[in-house]
Amino acid sequence: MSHNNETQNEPMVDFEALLQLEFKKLQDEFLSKVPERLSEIENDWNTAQEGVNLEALCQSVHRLRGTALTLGFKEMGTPAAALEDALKNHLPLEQLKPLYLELRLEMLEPKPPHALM
Amino acid sequence: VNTNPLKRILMVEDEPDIQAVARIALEMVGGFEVKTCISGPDALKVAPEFLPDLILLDMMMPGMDGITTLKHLRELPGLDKTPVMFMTAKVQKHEVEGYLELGAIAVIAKPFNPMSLAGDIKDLWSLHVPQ
Repeated sequence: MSHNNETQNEPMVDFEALLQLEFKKLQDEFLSKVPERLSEIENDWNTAQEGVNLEALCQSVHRLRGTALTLGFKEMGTPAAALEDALKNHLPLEQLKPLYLELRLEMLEPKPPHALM
Repeated sequence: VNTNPLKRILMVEDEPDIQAVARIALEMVGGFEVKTCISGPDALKVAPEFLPDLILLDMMMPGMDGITTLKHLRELPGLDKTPVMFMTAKVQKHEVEGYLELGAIAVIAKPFNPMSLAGDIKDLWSLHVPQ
């Protein structure tokens, strides 16, 4: 029977703490820009309502989805992903409103990110 | 003996936050030398000078997408055979097969896990690049 080699965990403690610190900086930076991203998405949603342009909404939601999920903001990334997929499947906006509202609510009061480990 | 080591990685990704996470993952965890580009046209400028061992290419970028970027990269001196891995959230079987047909050696699913990204890339490298 073999077990994981745990003899090298001594320097790893500091290294992982350092990594977490770096990730934490990025997560904080992301959080500070969420209000800005939210007003962008709100604008794009309103524009889409007027039937002018869906592409902008698709792009802003896509960008949020990728960043939020990569940085551990699962509760924000998940409705963003569902909204983007639904937009790409050309579902009517009226049907997407619950997803949009869920995303908006999460962006107004983001839950803390999950650990990137 | 590994005769074709992976050291220099060029990453093309339009989202600054994702770029930053990947850079930490590849440099600090993987020990790679990393250069990042914000767009396809940026990559076409940087790649001939940097001459990376591997190119990580985001598929969905505004303006020039990943597929078009790859096509143009292939026309540049020294980059006609550089291994490329696509990074994308679209990883259904038929989508991945399509990417491999376009000349990528592998596809990395987004969102990636920052802690395992470097190891995953090393594994894919040894699997797909003749050693």
